[in-house]
Amino acid sequence: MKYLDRIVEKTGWPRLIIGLFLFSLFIAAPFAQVKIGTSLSDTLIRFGMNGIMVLALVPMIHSGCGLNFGLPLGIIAGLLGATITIELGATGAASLFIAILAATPFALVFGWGYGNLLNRVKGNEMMIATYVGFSSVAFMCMMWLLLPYSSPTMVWGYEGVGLRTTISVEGFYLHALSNFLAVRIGTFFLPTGMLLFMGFVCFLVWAFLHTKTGTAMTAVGSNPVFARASGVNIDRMRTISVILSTWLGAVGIIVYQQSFGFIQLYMGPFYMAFPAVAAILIGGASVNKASIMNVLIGAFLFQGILTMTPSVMNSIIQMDMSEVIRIIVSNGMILYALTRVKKGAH
Amino acid sequence: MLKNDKDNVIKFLETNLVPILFVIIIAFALPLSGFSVRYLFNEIIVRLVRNLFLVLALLLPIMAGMGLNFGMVLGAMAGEIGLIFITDWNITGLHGMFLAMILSIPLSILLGWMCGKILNRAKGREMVTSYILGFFMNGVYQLVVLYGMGSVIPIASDSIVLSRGYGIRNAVNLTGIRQSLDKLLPLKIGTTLIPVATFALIAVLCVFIIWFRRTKLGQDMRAIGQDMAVAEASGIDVARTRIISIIISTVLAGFGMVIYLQNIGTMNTYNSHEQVGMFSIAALLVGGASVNRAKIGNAILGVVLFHLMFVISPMAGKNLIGQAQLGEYFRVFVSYGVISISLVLYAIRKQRDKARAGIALADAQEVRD
Amino acid sequence: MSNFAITGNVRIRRILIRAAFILFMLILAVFLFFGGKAHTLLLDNKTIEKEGKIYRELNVVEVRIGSGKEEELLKKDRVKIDVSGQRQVITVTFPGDDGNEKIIKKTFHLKAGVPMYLISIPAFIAGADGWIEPFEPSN
Repeated sequence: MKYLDRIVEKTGWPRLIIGLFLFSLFIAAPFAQVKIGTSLSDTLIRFGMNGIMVLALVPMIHSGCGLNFGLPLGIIAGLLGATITIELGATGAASLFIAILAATPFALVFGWGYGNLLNRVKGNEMMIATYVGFSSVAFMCMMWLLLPYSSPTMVWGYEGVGLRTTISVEGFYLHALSNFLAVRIGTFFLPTGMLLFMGFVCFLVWAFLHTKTGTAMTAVGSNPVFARASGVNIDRMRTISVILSTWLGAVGIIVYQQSFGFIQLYMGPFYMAFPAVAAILIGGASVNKASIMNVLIGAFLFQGILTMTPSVMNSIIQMDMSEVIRIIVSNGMILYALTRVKKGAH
Repeated sequence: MLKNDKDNVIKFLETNLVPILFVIIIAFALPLSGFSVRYLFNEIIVRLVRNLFLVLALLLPIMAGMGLNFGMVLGAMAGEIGLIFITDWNITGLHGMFLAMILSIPLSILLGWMCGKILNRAKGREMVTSYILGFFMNGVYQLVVLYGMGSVIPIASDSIVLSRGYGIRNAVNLTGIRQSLDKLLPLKIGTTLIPVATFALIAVLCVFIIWFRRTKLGQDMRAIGQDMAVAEASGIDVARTRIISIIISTVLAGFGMVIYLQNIGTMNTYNSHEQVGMFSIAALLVGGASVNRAKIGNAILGVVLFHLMFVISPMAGKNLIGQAQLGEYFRVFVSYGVISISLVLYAIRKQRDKARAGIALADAQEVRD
Repeated sequence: MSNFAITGNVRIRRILIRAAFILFMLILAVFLFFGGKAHTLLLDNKTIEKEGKIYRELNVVEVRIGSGKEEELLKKDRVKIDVSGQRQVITVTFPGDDGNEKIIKKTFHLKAGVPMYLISIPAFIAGADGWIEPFEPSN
């Protein structure tokens, strides 16, 4: 019993319940006549789509800035990169990399400003991050209307001004990564390229965290007093982590778009931080500790639940409660993590 | 002396930055919108009736140092559940409105107690926690109202249940109690109808808040708001007092929601409460309140300024660049922007005070040496 | 924690105050429930037969429920009125046999579980027992 207690203590109740829930979904799936092949490949596709946005949370958690509820800021940088690429007329698979390149300067500038802001509000980062995200999305809503875009695939047809709410990336970088080395067996589809790319970015972040700067950043998060004593510039490290987070957010949304097929503007990015945060927490991260492993496990579990619930639930109880379950699971997980912060750890 | 004046001016500007900013925005947009004074006066009265009670519900947790109670949406949900029941039972008029309020009380107390318990586990990050709690409870609310009502919880009326047999419809018509409080004691000034009864109820709440501040419990809350550690040391049960402040706030938010919806007359079952928290908080901050200091006057001024902006910005946007949509986005941006600015200013001020206290302490120690 | 020590007396008083408050709220809720319950009344001016007796319709009759609007019913009219509360007062004004106007006023009670009642005005004027009956709308 003691051993069991320790397992529960270590994983935490919500994580255990969510794990069991997903497990029972997989058990129930064959009885509910849900095709395992499709479910699995759907899960993998969504895992690849969302993975980098979940990864984007890691640097800020490492440097002690908490959960990056301001992820929409990075997403906006990505949206700017994407729309500029289409405006410039770049087509084909290469346009994906052009979009990432185009997004980079925005991500750097936004991240720098955002990082400096967060340095001034230490201890209140998460609430302010949430509202920085919201405000920037709302601000960009106005900008999407006002900025002088002119590409006919993007602006409203009858008015000629203002961007559409959703823009198709077909002909640009639709499935540029997903179809690379893709495997198709019956209904099963493996987006090899996207997963490889995600693995590559994860590796880059992992490698970065093991450089001198990376370890200094982690030191700032886990023990700021010690970090200062050993001559690390805390504010600078935090800013770097925020910039990195923002840039990963930008890359993340572009990878998301290439699989999803559309650029979602206006209120689209509004709530995107929450599923990412929930995913990393489900994967075992806490407000001040996260690893690449947490990202991979969390993104897979969370997206697994999102894919499996509607189909399984629908055929078992004829009620589509997936939306409600998504809300309760993701926010319940965040809530749990917030109440589990150890004293003195900011 | 001169330096002192300058300091005072700076201090005044600093504490009132948000309202001043707002007055400037409104002064700029008002002529652009082209609305008549009479229309705007009418709108302001309506908005005060609708929102003031809700905004006032935020005051107690601020006093207790728990920041902006984003968990007020929990109370709003309780109020909505009360309204669903009275609509189902077909209770009309003032009777229905007050019954909805009474029905919301036990739910609000339960939710508020839970919220307080959770926030006690997240000291120092109450706001973000209560914010996420609002989202979480929204899921639970949907589970209960969309799946539980009509299947587990008996709902007889076909007019509010979805055609599939369970779950409440997206819009619930509150014709039975529509404006029952507002129309109780109408006072006509020019073309504007002033609902005296609603204002009287709001006045009662104001008196309650003023009275409450002077009670033992109110004093305790203020002490906790000043310094939790000192309050704890002086024998105040901090955890309990904080929970009570959240419970009262939640109950009041429930009442506020009932008043809000009786004025509107229809309830968007799944959306009404979502916006209420954000708008109430933004309005309070626009009135010059901050995360740790809010007065009744802030609430009144805030509702007037915030909703004035809300009414005029789509028209101003339309007349300025020909797009009403722009004005709509603008007001959304301003709502979030105001909260952001207030949060940032508060955090910076807190950090500066901490630094100042540190320097003062160092000075004092130096003198002693 | 000695500051919080509550003597037995205070504790009992606190429990009593809370119990009284809850009781008051419950009573108020019950009062509001019955007082605000909405009913639909159908005022009917048709010839009907009840227990072998025939009550003839009136050419014209004015009916008022509580302090509501006065309804004028001609022959074969049926009017729908929404009221709230259990205790209602009906006032009927009609030309009597002698040509003078006659007024009958009566207080009656509605059951909370019955959403709709049918009131037969001819039966009411004749003072018959079954002048008000629960009404089941046929779908």
